[in-house]
Amino acid sequence: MNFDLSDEHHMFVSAIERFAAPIDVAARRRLRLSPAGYDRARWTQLADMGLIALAAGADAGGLGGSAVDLALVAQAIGAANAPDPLIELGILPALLLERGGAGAALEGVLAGTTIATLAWTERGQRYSLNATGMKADQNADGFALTGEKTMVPGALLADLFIVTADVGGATACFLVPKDAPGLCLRAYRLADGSIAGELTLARTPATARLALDNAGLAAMAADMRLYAAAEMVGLSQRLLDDTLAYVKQREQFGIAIGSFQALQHRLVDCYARQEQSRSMLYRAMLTDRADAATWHRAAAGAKAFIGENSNAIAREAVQMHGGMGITDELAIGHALKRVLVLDRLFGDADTALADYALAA
Amino acid sequence: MDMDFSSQDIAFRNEVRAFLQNNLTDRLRDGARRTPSVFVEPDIGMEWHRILYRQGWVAPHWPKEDGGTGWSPTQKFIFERECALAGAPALSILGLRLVGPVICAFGTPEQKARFLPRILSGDDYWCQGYSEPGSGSDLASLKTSARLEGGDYVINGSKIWTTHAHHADWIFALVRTDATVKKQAGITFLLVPMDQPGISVTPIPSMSGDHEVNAVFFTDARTSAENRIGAEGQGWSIAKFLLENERGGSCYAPRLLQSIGRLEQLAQTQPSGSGGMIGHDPRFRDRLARVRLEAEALEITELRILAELAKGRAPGPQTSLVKLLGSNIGQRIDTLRLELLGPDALQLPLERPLYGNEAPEPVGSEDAQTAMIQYLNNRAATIFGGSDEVQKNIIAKTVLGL
Repeated sequence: MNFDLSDEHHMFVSAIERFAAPIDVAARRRLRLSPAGYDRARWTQLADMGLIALAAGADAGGLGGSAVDLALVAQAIGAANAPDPLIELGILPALLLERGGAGAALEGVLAGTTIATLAWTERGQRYSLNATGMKADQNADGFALTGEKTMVPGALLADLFIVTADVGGATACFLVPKDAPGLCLRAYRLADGSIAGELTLARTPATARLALDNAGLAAMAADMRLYAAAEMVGLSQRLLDDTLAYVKQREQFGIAIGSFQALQHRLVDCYARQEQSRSMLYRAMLTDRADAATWHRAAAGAKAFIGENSNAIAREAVQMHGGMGITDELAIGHALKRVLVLDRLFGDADTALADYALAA
Repeated sequence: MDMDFSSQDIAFRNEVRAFLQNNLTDRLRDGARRTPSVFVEPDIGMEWHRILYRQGWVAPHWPKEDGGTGWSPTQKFIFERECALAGAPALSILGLRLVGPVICAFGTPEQKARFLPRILSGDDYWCQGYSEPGSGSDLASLKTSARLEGGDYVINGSKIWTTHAHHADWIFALVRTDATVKKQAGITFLLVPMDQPGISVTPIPSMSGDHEVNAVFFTDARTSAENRIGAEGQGWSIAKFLLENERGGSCYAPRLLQSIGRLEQLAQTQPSGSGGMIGHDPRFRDRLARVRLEAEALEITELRILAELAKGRAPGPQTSLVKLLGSNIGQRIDTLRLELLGPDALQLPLERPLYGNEAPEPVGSEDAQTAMIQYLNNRAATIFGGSDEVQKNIIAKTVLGL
């Protein structure tokens, strides 16, 4: 048994720390407030570091990173409070395109030259992966898609949409380039400053159908739950670290507020939550994937558990920072907002917890 | 023991309802509903303020001789509850609830004549200079100084978290006039005009994207010695009087119950994603029910305090209890609203205002458009006006005798 990071893991983590370091809160704020909510040149740098390629196997042109590698990368992104949508615009499409056999599209995604995003959320379906509001009809040329999606990540950055749609009662994935006929996008801002979109397709031709069924989608969701949980563990570590530093330095009534027992005990509770979250993350990322049901259940449980802990730590971090915690000028607020988004990615705490409980 | 209103109270309630029916316009209702910041924007708030002023109902909490309504505590409660039920904008408390009562209680006849009518009419908009960068929960350690020079106080220092300083004509400020005595004893309460070269206002952006609060810098700012309320060194006792008004006197439960009612309504129309509506999910339904119970209990707690006030007893540390409970229940409602509205509640528009013709189209629903902003802004509810920690210290010390 060994829970130490390997040399390679240390390398990933320090590479991300170096990459994220120049982005202080003010720079993060400017980046997030820009029209697309992010910067394409930065994305290219991220790709050049091999961080997207980590998500695909060597046979598919990737670096063949393991789930543990990817989880540690996601955690480092969180701990750095980095503004990079690596998990939703990097890892997610890479996993789908590789597993779905779309080699050509995958190449551009791994290189950072193509930004692809998954359009799966439907208003009526809440957090369910079942597509019912988007229909794919087969015709002589292939498939045409009609329907609506919401909360499509990175809407203004994406060159390629991977769209889930109903085909005869099953949910399948289709590729739709951003300039496809009948495609209409309405962009809006999310809590973490990223730009999402409402996507409407009207008899829009798909350029390909991925070789993925419902089970393939469920596997992708399990992966994404793990990486979202990992980023949240990083974010809550940052929130806790910043809060500990603050209460030691902030003086009221002539002494550091960290000397008040009322705060000390609550900070110990946060610390306990954080340790439990990290353990749960390790448990899920080290779970043997031979049995899909067992591994999906572990990912669902970890997401629910860590989401609750990270939110609780974020709320305490704001409270203990007082007025400063409410502003947009500290990492605290930015981290809290990112946690809120990640906590709902591929199911909120109730949804993930129910999946965990029902799979027992 | 009973918790019924008298027939006079019911007649009064009907009068208030009829007034709201006739005067609360759709524009005001819409502006109130779609303002997710802590304070309503002045264009909506002051329009409603002036309507209430013309009716003579703008200052229920003031003594009748100073322009108050002369209502009983029960009538004040009824008025607040009916306003909440009708979705009326919440008026800025800064003039009416904070500095107004201070001037009523501690001001000279000249000060009353000069300031009170303009607060009532809405001609003057006020902000509050209390917290400083180094003085939050430990307010008495404040450092902004004022020294008498001729007939003026000359003020240097800074204030922070100053809500609507960018709209304000006047600031009421706690300043240090004597640094040689016990910290509480050296504080003085001054009224200072905002429009002068010695004052600058810097916005502090909130994580919600709102601009509500500011830092205010005083560099040889001036105010006439005639604008001192009470004596030099009396500022701390005035401050405590004001903070009790800020914390108490107002009722949280009516607006909380109104918000809970809205969530109950939405829960019947919001799909759960697994067939049926979210309101039928026993886990969500139970959490919502639990919050309703808290708010229903708080309503009676508030009525019990009112009943005490009606007997002529002064509001005491119960105001801390109400503030503690009310702000926490509010935050639980905000969390439930995010859960209820699902993916749509992740939107965080930065455009303001969200009412009127220029407002951006909501994604999903108007409730979803403001849910995240409300959640983020209302994190402040357990911090401003004395944080939870401060309220608990007050209760532990003064109520529990610890």
